[in-house]
Amino acid sequence: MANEPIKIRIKRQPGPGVASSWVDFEMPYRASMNVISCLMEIQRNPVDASGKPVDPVSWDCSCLEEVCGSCTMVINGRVRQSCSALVDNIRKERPGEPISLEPMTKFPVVRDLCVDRSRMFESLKKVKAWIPIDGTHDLGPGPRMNEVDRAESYKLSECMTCGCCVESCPNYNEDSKFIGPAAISQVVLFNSHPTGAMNAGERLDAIMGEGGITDCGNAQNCVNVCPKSIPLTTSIAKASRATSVRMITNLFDR
Amino acid sequence: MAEPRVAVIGGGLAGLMAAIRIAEKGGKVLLFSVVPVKRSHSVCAQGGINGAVNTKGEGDSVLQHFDDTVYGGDFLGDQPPIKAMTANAPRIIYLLDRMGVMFNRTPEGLLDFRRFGGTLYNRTAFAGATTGQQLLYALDEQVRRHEADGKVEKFENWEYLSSVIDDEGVARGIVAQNLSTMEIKAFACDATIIATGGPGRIFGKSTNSMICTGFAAASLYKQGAKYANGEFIQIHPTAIPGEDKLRLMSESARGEGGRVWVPKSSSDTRSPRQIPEAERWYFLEEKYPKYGNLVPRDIASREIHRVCYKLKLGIGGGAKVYLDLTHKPREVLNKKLGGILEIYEKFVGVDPREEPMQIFPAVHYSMGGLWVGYETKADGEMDMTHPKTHMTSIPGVYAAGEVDHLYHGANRLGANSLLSCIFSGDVAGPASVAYAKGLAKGADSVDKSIFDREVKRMQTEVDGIAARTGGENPFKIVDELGYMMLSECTIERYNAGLKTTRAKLDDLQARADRAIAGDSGKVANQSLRFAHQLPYLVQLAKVMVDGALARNESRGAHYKPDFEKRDDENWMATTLAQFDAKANGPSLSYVPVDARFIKPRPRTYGAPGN
Amino acid sequence: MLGFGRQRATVVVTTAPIRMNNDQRHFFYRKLHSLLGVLPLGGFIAEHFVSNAFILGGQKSYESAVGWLLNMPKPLLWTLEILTIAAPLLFHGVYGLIIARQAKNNTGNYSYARNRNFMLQRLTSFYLLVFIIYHVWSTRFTGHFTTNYTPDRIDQATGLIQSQQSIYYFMLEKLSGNWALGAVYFLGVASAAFHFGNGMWTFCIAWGITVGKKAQDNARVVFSGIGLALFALGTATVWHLVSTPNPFKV
Ligand SMILES: Cc1cc2nc3c(=O)[nH]c(=O)nc-3n(C[C@H](O)[C@H](O)[C@H](O)COP(=O)(O)OP(=O)(O)OC[C@H]3O[C@@H](n4cnc5c(N)ncnc54)[C@H](O)[C@@H]3O)c2cc1C
Ligand code: SF4
Ligand code: SF4
Ligand code: FES
Repeated sequence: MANEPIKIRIKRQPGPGVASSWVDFEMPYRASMNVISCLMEIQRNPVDASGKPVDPVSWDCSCLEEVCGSCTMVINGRVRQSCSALVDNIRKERPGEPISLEPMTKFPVVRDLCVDRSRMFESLKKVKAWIPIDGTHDLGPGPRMNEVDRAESYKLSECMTCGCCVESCPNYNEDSKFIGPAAISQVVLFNSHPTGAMNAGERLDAIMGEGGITDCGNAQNCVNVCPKSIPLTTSIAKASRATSVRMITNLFDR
Repeated sequence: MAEPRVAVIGGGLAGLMAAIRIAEKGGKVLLFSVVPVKRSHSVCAQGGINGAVNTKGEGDSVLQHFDDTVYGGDFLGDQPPIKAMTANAPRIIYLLDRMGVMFNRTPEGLLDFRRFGGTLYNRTAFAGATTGQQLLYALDEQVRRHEADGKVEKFENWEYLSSVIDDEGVARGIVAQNLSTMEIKAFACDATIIATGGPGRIFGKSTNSMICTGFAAASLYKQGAKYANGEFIQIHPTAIPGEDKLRLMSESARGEGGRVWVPKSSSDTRSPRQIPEAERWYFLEEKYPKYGNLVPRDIASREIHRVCYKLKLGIGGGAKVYLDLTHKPREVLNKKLGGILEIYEKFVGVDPREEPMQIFPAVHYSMGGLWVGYETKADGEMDMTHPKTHMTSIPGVYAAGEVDHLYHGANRLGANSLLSCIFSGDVAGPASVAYAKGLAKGADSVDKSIFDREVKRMQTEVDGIAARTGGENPFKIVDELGYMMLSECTIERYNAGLKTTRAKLDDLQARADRAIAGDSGKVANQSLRFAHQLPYLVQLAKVMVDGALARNESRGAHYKPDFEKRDDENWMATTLAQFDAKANGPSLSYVPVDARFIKPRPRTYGAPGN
Repeated sequence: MLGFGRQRATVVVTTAPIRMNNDQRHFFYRKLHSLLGVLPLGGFIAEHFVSNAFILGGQKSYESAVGWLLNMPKPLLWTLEILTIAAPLLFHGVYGLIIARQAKNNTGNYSYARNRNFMLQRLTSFYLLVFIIYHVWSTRFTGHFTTNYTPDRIDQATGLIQSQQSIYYFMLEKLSGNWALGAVYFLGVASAAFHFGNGMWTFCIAWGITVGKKAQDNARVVFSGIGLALFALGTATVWHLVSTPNPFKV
């Protein structure tokens, strides 16, 4: 099967809010192709499997090395980055069947495989995912940090807002207000920074409401699909601990 | 004027830093980016950012950093801006540290620094092997904070198409296109900062992101802006050959001890770990005992090229050499280089901790870019707050980041770009506010018709392509463009080859001008967008080729075997390209390099016999 | 409330800490839902399984194990039942249904064990809700439990209760030989044991008790063990009742 032509089925949608349909494509195999290079091939030669000319497929990508988070899509039923989805590997998942590509289901589709993930960026605003520095003027070095804590935080700071985690999360959908694991993990990141900790309460408050931390049901899909292997469930547990404590201290401190 | 409005085009490191500074200065920012700014190409930067903080007791200093940068750039860089940048580098690293960048630490909890190419000091601060990502996120977070405060308005998924230039030649706003709805619209603003990054796409495959097309710079160049030193394109010595992209293997791999070698015999078919030391040739270490594997990029790339093509000693006779880290302990590698080793493992399917990597040079960075000026103070230092500092040749338009030409001369040192991007945003932001505040009349009070005129010009271009039939597919044309540029305008350049390439480019221009979209879609029409960009990319390619053709010397990344020596007498000058509509290509002129601090000296990196 | 809350915010807060805004209420209800699942409900389930398992030792063993409960003064028993079982159960059940409805299960594509458990937690809750209503109605509100259980009906000579007034025989009569009902009970027991074990495990994360992956893995072992033990006890209890012949059967 190695050098057989590549068969791909793509769920296409010409614009927002209109019906979608599956279209088959076929292209010659070359070594070390990934899903993106297949889509590029369609751009160069936009015909479907029967040879009929079609509009080229729209999709998002940028870095092609799994750091920008653009190219997320549902491949063979599982959400992941299309730039690191190598044809050799994904063809093995469903032998004999075409590779299937679909847009993420938790966000509004713009066209074909492009979706609008603004909800995730809004969440980052909501949890105040930043260090409130006084200004960019020269104030000398930042706080010292020990390397162990630093390494732990570094892991969390690799989140590229790709959306894999929320796509796989059963509790994140258009009917729920759940903020999702990525934003919760950012709360943990900023609350563990010596300066960020000064506003820890504000960030906890932001996830102590509807759609907040309590809306996680611990399905733990998120941690399984995160392409950056971010320990999301540990972050969730840490945030749970902090919010539980905050709930109790709030009762007694005021 | 109440609140100066500045359009920042691009949300990479340069654009974001500019946006933060403008917001702090009381300006209102309109931030445009073709992707959500968090996905900008700067995320790809791996190795680190330079700053002479001297925490290792090596006696490093900002002046040493200055000298390394000028020497590394083969004396083509104007010295006052480089001096200012290197002097501000420690401050910038501290600022990033305060913003929460998870830089690696020493056991004492201080910032850790590693070695990079073109220096003998540990001067590069790093956050694992995803430094660019970490820096970009820190700035992105600060911008989000200003956005929540209403000081920054983001237009993500919008593409800058052109500037609105009034009849006096002053820029009064921009025209941009919404990439989802395809709407084309004008935005009035008092100043504009172009921070759109590099032009890698012109070379087909490179280490750059797909969005690094150079389109915005090309468009402004066609509107009359000068483009400087276009012929200086950095080829990175170590990239992973790939089907869709040449993924970078950061210089930090060598900074952490990685060694470049080939088997002494190209017919050696043993697996690399079976080849004994004595039968390996560490050609960089042999030729440059002082700098070893950490010679500057232009030199390392040329050496690899020579070994593979002249001496035919690449692995198995092909175009690849080994980059070997297998002698380093696993834990150290994971901690300091995790990110990039994962990339290799993921895309090649081989664990680089166990097996030497196979790499080859790839197009990486453009030293040239939109020409920007600078003013100096009485003592010769750059005036960082002057409204004309970092302004392009079009009044009201600034450039910052990889898209400007200012800091790297003929060759950029590793880890100096993250620095120059942030520093240039740090300078251009306040300068644009100063300029806007000094304007007699703001963009709101200029005649509206100039905006309509520019929108119409762009709309006509786009509609023309959408209506066109019978032309070629733009993605196929860009493949050809890339192939041409790669073969004639990269590591080794010959006048004969450049001349034929230039002729071919004229032909390609005509074809690009007639390219079709082949997409009837009304929204997110990516082919239409690319068909619109393509002719501009060809224009920029002509600037690069013409510049290379004219410059009969070898300097930094520009290497002509027929003119092996640097020629300071004739060529210590910045190339300026200006669009000539009649010739449908650039007309070139030159200005001398401002070398007021450091006298040029031969650039040998201690190689014997040089 | 909103109107004067602004000006006198401090007063409002200090005098009425219980007054919550929408977000706080949501958080509090979710936490309460989670907490009630463990205490008292989890505790009660464990107690219920263990004491019912005394059935395996026959009538005497069983009735002495549960007798203290049944002999409690009625007002006290009712209060206890309402406060520690009925009310928490009602809240946990009804609010839990609301939560479960919000999930879009996707075990087809993401067939991780955890995700399956997540779905099972919701499925078992539906079953348990129906089952418990039936179970309580058929035992507590009809038949035996509604009549007095008095020790003087015990035959002093044999030590056995002579009639269907015995709670042991009451249950036996229901289940003995009734394999269909036995299956219903078996499913109830299995669901409850699973819901308990998995619920305890999630509780530990939701309250930040187990944070790291190791800790969560260890907790999984512990609660799987407890869950399985309860499952075994419950199954044995049901098996005993179904397979023991009812001597009073006419
Ligand atoms: C793989 C790789 C590794 C690197 N590693 C290092 C390193 O370790 N150290 C170092 O110093 N340098 C490194 N560099 C170089 C450095 O990353 C880049 O030069 C730098 O990030 C450029 O930043 P920028 O802000 O100029 O532009 P970019 O980050 O490229 O951002 C450009 C922005 O402009 C926007 N844009 C582009 N065109 C338009 C348009 N027409 N309209 C609207 N918006 C537009 C984009 O959306 C984006 O937001 C590396 C480069 C590569 C390719
Ligand atoms: S947490 Fe992981 S999966 Fe989720 S957005 Fe971040 S990187 Fe993507
Ligand atoms: S653990 Fe929580 S956030 Fe993660 S997938 Fe499950 S419900 Fe969603
Ligand atoms: S293209 Fe950047 S993550 Fe795939």
